[in-house]
Amino acid sequence: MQSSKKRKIAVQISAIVLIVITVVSGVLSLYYLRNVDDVGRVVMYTGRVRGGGQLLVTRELNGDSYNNPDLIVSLGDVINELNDGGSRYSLVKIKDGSFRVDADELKKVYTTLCIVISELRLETGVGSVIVEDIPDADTLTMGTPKNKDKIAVEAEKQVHITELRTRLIKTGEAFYTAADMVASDAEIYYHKQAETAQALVTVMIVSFTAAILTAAVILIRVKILNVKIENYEKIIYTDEMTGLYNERAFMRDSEKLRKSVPMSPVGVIVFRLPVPQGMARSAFARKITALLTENKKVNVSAYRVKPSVELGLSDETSDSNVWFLLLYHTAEKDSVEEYITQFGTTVSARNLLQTSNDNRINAKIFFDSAVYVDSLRDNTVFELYAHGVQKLVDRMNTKNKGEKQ
Amino acid sequence: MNELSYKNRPLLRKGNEIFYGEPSTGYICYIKIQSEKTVKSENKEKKDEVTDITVPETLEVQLVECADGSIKFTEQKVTRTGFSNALTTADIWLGQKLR
Repeated sequence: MQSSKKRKIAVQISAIVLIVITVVSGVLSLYYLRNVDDVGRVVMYTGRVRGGGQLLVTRELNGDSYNNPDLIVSLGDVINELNDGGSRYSLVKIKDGSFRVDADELKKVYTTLCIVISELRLETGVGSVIVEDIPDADTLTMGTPKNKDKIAVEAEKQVHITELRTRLIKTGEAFYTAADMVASDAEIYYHKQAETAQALVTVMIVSFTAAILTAAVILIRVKILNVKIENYEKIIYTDEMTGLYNERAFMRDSEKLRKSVPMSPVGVIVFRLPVPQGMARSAFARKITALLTENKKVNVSAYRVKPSVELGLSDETSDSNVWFLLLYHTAEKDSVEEYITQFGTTVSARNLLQTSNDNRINAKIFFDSAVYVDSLRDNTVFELYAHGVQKLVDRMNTKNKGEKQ
Repeated sequence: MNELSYKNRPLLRKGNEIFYGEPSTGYICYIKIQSEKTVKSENKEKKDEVTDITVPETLEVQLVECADGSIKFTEQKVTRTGFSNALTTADIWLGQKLR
């Protein structure tokens, strides 16, 4: 008992644990899958920042800065969202340590880049001197003294612009490196999230399968026991020799009929059949059973009974007789009588009683020990069983005598 | 049919499982033999001979409801030592239910 109880408790606990694991892993995997989606956006935007930075620097160097204002603003917004999260680009704030450091670094480099661009623009102005227009140093020295100052100033300006452009290129390179680092961090974080989500989905599938299997095992066990009990029911209500219902089944069915109070009359016919000489009792009983089954009528059930004290039937020569019982609940009394008659005729036609002199045994002779009880209602069927059929035989005999008189 | 019965209720054993009671009454008992033991038994005919026989030791008795064609295992379950004790318990349970 202890082991059985423990086993049952263990099965119940494991079922609960499996269900909890399935639910938790399901919820977590949903969370991580959603996170993977968000991190995917971050990875994509870090790539765009890298490309955008490159375009920005190229345009500044090429003097196309008038195209850049929107780009500068959008890059700034994206970088801010990469750092702190935001709703404009729907970027989430990634809590990964190295990503945070590198994103912060990217922001700083971008600020520096913007300062350099501002200085360069201040020096050159929109559409101003570009690298190819810088005067040659020799040309600058050959100019007039009046122009020499202008040339010298211009030369200094050009030198400063060159320095600023060099700084822009270097800062741009630093920006690309920082953007690459951020993209790399985001990608690693993305893979981690994806792997976690994958592991959780695997756990969920495994635990769900295990839960289903556990439930199936429990259900199969119950199903097997159900089948066993059904077989048990069949065994205890079936007569082993003939396969017909037995007395116990008669008791069950009559009790059911008694409880249901059927509108049609309930009758019981008990009959004793002498086993023909030269025929085994069991073989004879089976042949009669075959006839009863073949000619089965609606609302008439056949039973093989044994003479017993409980039944009120005494049979001194039990080996030479077989007892059957018909329980019916139908208003068609004639139909039942016909059934019996037909049954007798069929026996004759099939020449079962080979040893009999008269091959055409009529129903009357065949059922010479039969008891015909009509219109048993309510408790009467039960009483029939309880008080014995013999009493009913006596009652019927008395009734018959009275009718004759 | 040489059917076995105990206190006027059918009894059927199949392997380690015993069914007791009439399904039509609404309840039966499902008894499962959990462990067996070997005991010495004297031969009734030859009293000098002692043979080993295996008898159930611990049995689990469970009440089963068989109402309206459906079978339901109730929570009423107990373990008894010895076949006699198990059958007595089952008989009492069925008696209580059919009272």
